[in-house]
Amino acid sequence: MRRLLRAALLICLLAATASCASYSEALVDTHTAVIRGDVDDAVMAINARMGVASVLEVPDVLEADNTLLLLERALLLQGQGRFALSARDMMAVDQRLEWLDIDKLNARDIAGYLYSEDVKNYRAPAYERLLLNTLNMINFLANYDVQGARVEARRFRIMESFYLDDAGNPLLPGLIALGNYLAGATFEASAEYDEAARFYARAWLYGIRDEDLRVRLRDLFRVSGYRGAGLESPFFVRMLEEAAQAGGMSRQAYRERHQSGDVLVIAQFGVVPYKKATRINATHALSLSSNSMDARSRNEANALIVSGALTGVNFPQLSTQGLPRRDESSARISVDGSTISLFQGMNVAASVEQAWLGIAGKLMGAALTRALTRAVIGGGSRAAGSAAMQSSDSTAAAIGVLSWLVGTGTELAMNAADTPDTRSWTTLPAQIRIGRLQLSQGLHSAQIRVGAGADKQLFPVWEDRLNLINFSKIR
Amino acid sequence: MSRNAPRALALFIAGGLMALTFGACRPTYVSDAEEPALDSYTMSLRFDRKDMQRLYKDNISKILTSRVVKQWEREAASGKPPVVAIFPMRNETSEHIDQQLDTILSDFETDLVQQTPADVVSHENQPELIAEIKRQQSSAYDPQRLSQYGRQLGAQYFVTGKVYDVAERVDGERRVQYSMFVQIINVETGKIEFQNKSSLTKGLVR
Repeated sequence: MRRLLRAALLICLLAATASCASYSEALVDTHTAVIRGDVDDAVMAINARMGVASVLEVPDVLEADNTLLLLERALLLQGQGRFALSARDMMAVDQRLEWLDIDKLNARDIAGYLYSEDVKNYRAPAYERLLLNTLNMINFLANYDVQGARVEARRFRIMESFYLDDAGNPLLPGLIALGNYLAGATFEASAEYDEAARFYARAWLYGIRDEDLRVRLRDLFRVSGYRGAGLESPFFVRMLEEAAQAGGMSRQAYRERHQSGDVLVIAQFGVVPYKKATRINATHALSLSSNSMDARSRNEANALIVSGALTGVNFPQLSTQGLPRRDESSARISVDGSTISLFQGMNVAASVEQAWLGIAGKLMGAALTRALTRAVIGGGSRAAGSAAMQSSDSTAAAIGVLSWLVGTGTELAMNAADTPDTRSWTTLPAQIRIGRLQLSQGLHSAQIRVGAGADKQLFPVWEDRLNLINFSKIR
Repeated sequence: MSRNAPRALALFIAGGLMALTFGACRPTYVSDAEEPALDSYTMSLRFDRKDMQRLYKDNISKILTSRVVKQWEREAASGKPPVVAIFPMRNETSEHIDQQLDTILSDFETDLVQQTPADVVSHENQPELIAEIKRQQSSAYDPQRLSQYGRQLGAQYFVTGKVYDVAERVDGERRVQYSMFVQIINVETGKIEFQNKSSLTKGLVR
């Protein structure tokens, strides 16, 4: 009897203490450091969470949150200009995510159903999966490693084809545009003009509209004679006519016109919305999950809500609280003292919101189902205890009281431990904008201003290479 | 209700919570001496040692018995051994396998030194050239550039190659079919004196 009492007390104690911080709560200091531009602090905090001593180390095991933490660190390393280390981290995550994508029958799914989505291995949403290869192209291009960038461009192409809707159109056109633009620049720098034309054409098609890109595309059609698929729109028909009228162009002429001292400036600023653990009123939760629960579960949930057994649901709500307000015009870049014009690479924040809208109902349904299951387990144990309490046998009645306590404690413990899955790539920029210009060979300087913050870089320009300058430290 | 039922319930719940908390097994470092089968596991879609050995073996015997190597023997016999340089392979795949390709080339280099009369220019002593090629990539392999690099190194032949892949992802499975072409190129004329194709497929399946 004493042992049973101890078990009951232990479970009640667990109920009081088991609630643990969600991913975004645990990372709040890192997030704040990123927002104030203190990337060094943020990197150190992430290293500590992964249990590694420095950026030279990668965690031995990429289980649970480590995959995502490594992704967060990769982006911060990119902001510090440590492109090789950033590429290493992104490649490790890429391989791990690929494995997780295929491993659909993850053993921990069962635990996740009852306990919390948060205990499962991290599965990246489409926009993160595609941004991984897109941002890694920046790492390789910044290091003048065109071969590595081409590998990432090909990986992007494979992933891109995986995220299409039923009609074969991309789910995230903005992201497809940016990835294709960088892939186009990569193949252009490799003097593979057919491929460059193909990628640039897709970049234009999905939303990058810039005069420099238009002229490059026309000249790529002239130099390569590219007539592949995807050029059926009136815009491309007109452009092909224009290219035909202008006549052929030699590779040398193309290089001189577009690639001499070619500089690609990338500005990544702002911070994407993040998921925040929130307690949602059960009635509101049920209305939000209307299409993602079957009728029986809805009826069960309704009955529990009416009886007062189910009052709320833990849920990861998308939030912009504490984030700097940034729009397309928030960043200004000057090169050698002159402001350069930037065009839209990608509105990452909009993609995050779009992706969220697509899954919020389903997530709410899953959270409600878990809450229902826990309520049923706790209720069953309490019912058995209540029946025993009615017994005339004093020992059986005492056991009934304890059993009731165990049931209540278990339900409380499981509710407390149901940490909403707030995991996402929180250090992503809200906006990515691009500048393209040609400079003379030699040292140049560039400065970015975002809000009250500024960052400056001295950079070499090589006449015969693609020179990439990345700003992502100041948000 | 049985007297043991609440106790069993409590133990079941406590056990379940323990399993969820501590259930994952911990990883352990091992060497191939402790775990002889270690090298036989496929752990990624890239090349592992077994793949590299297979590609090396598939090519080296054909290189050593090729017409161009016989020609080198004749040139050496007449007192003019040719100078041969290893030139980085082109990675035209969707996997980061550059280091593995360099390893295969280093293995070729060892055998060329030990088993042919050619003077072999060290692969490792060309970091600037390699960096330049990585930057130039496709254009580095055009005959004009090759000839220029050859003159820079005093080489008459390049041992090099290229790797392509067909990478697919269908029904939740991944497959990469690699095709590797090893070449010996006459620097002066740009003529391909030797070429051999090897194939290898790797997959991630459920």
